Amino acid sequence: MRSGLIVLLWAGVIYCKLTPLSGQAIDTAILMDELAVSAPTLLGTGSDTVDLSTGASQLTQLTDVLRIESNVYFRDYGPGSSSTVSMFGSKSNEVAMIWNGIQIANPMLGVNDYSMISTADLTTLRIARVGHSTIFGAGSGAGAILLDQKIKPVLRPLTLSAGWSSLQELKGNASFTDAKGSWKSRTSIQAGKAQNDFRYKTHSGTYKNLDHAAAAHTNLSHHSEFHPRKNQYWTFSAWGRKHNREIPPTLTEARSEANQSDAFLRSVIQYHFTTSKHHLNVKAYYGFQKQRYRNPLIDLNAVHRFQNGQFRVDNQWQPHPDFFIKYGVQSNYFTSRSDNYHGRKHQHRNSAYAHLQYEVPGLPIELILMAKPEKVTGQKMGWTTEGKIRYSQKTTGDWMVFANKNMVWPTLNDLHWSPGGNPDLMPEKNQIYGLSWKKSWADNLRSSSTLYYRQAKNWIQWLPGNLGFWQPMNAHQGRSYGINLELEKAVGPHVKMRSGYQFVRSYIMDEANRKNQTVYNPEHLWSFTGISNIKKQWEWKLEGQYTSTRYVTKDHTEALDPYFLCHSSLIYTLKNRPWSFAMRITNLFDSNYEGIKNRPMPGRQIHLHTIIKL
Amino acid sequence: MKNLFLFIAFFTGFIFLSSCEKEEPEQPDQIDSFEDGVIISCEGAFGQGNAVVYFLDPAKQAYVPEIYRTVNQEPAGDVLQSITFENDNAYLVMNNSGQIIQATEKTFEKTGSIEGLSAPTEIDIEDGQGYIGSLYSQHILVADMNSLQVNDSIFLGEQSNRIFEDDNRLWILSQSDYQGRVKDHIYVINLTDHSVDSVKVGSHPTDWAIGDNDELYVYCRGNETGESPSIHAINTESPSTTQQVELAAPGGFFTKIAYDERENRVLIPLEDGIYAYQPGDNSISSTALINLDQITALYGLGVSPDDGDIYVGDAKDFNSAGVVAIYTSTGEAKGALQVGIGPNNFYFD
Repeated sequence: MRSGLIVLLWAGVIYCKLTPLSGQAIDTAILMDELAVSAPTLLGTGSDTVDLSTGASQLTQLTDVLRIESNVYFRDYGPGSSSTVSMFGSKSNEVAMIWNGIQIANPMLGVNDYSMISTADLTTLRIARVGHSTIFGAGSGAGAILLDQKIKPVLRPLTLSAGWSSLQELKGNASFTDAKGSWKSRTSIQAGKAQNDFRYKTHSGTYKNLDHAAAAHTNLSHHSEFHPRKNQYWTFSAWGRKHNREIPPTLTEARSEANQSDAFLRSVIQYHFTTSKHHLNVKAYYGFQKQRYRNPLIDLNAVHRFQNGQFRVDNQWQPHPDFFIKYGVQSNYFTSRSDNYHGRKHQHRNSAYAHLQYEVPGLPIELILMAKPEKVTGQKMGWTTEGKIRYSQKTTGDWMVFANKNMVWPTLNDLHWSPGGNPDLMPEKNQIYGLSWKKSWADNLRSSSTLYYRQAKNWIQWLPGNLGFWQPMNAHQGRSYGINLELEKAVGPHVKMRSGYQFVRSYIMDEANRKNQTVYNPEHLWSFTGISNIKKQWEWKLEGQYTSTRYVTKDHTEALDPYFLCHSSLIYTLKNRPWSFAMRITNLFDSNYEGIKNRPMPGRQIHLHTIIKL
Repeated sequence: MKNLFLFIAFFTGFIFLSSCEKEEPEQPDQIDSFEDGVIISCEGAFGQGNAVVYFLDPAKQAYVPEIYRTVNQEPAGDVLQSITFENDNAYLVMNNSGQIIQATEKTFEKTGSIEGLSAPTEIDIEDGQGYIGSLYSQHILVADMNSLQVNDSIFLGEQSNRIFEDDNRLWILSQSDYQGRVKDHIYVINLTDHSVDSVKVGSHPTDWAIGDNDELYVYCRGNETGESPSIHAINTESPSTTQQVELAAPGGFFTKIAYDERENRVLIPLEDGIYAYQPGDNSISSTALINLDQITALYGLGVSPDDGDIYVGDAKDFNSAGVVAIYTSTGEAKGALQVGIGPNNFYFD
């Protein structure tokens, strides 16, 4: 609590000279300026851009960049370990990850591991919040995180960076961008390794260093754009990664010998064609991933391989100045071979969608309707639908009422895991209703708020059966409601500040523990970011994050204490030279906390980083 | 001994084990030892390190929750598979923590541990030697119980879920791997020369109960393609199967069994209730002794040798507190007690 008060005091000092974070402006950029079409992005709307331009963001993981968003919560097992996301109190499989327009998820688990994404690969990072993400279809009801590599103009083509941290971590990155002419490309290579042997407090009160927690990765990505004509372009993106990690012992394990390795390759080719009233985008995607999990102590050596092919066509058509239509089709094919399946398993998902957007003439009102039927192997047709009314005026701000239906398909593990897989599972279904309001005030103050309510049914849960193993079942109905508040302010060109708060109540309806908050779902999240440019060469960033109690068991007999974390970064850039040095201290107040029960988290750590552009 | 004061401070009340008749409540006596009563092991949720041990004193109608954690000010670990009592010590077999904790039986104060084990399941101690089963290893580890060091191993060739030493023989129940080779034997190791023999039982031996008069009752769950579950009575002296009884239950049905030494019967939970098997009979009781309508997931079963009370551990969904339901020897509900996650075993003293 003492550390929390200190940050509040600092925040109060800074508050008198604030400006909005430019990167948080709503992304309403049109695709090509010279065209009549003026609707938001081709697929998806209303996403917020997360700033990747600051030096500090280059030395952190994607999870650290996103964690500062008050509506994003990561269930994280510690440095080097896996990390899954939750937005607005959702489950991890309700947040879509979109890479260059393609929805990616591990088909076995239905989720993504965000610890395997490097910010250095990306040129744009956006978040589509609840009410803005439904167009991505099943598995996007709570939000979407959009990773893009679209090439931006650069003054210097080569960027080199290197970093060290007190987690015995070393990493380096090189990116080369050629942004001139009709052929543009950006290639990035990154490698890193860390011992992650931080000091932690054991249950008996003694201190020791974490054992068997090393991680290492190499990452290569490439993005090319070819613009043969002004109204069309091709792109090719490829992303490969190899990631090895040791699984550290929990606080109640004497030792661990488990380790996990992942290797994946993802690629997408896109063709984009534009006429005066029409955009066409065609994408073809192929991804392969191999995952191996070994634990000699329990004689486990499991290999999982999965492939994913996708083909999609997206259109945006403006037949009338007040009327937009987005429509398209998508085919998605998963196949997986796993030591835990009997033979190869596959799933085919075919869908089409139509999204109608109508601006009422003479009124600041916009009506939006969307429907997306989807047919999945072995399942009945499922529908994702949405209706929105937006009222936007400068004096009142931007109001939006929305209602949508979304679903989450059973994963391959749910259907086929041996033992226990249940091929009769139905998809989880969600209905979400909400109200959002955004407004820009005088003196560079912006605010946004979202109220929402969700009904869910058929939640899939693995339960013990009478054959001696667990089986997934459509067991529960859930409810959640909450509010998210964001405030941005800047004074002058030098100080920017942002704060967000989220309240979520999420509970299961048909249980003995009725209305207990769901496990690992904090009711309160608060975050704060302040950036101060001290003259031109110095940038100081201060971040604070509060996470309230998380319950470990459904009946709340066990819980993890709330915690407050504070991080601070200082970046110095040489005068007249594009070379910067950064120092970041995470967990400044050395808080003792756990993200997952019995998984120790690091105390205060120092990170050093340098970036040079040539 | 100072830790005794700690757990006394953790009294949370007492339960009524008597009938519904209203009686004047009595002040509970203080519990100053864990020797006389029922030890309830709750294995906890896998991976969460929240295994706990409860102590119930039926005579005083009082219980003490989480005795190990309270006394030692640290959690016991992850997945408490079983507890063995020997020479005034309790040995807590922490399966997913890979260790066995030694604690005094009277106070549950930790006095040592055997570490570096591979998913231990059970330990049986004889003549200062601890024989340790493993969920994955094909060896039985042998530990010197004075130094708490593993100093030998015996090759079995199978993993070992349950072990039991009797008359210089080590009996091992090894469950089948899921959809792997169907096992239909239990194994016996001669501890003099480490030779391994086996006794034929039904498909998929799952659990056993140790009876009086050198009898071992093995529950085999059969399979879903036609073989019914069965009980096999084995004489450990000969050793040979003395009786085999098929059960009217769906093949593959997973359950736990317990021996009731007061009534000389084996209790067998099936889908709708707990049935009794009297050794020598050709079938189990025609009606259920205890109806299981109120039990969500039966995970532990035990019978008190003192009063014949039957203890049922209900694991619910393995993510909430479990419940121990207590019945009289004739199957009448007597009381219930909320305990930790996954109550799996009862130990009576």
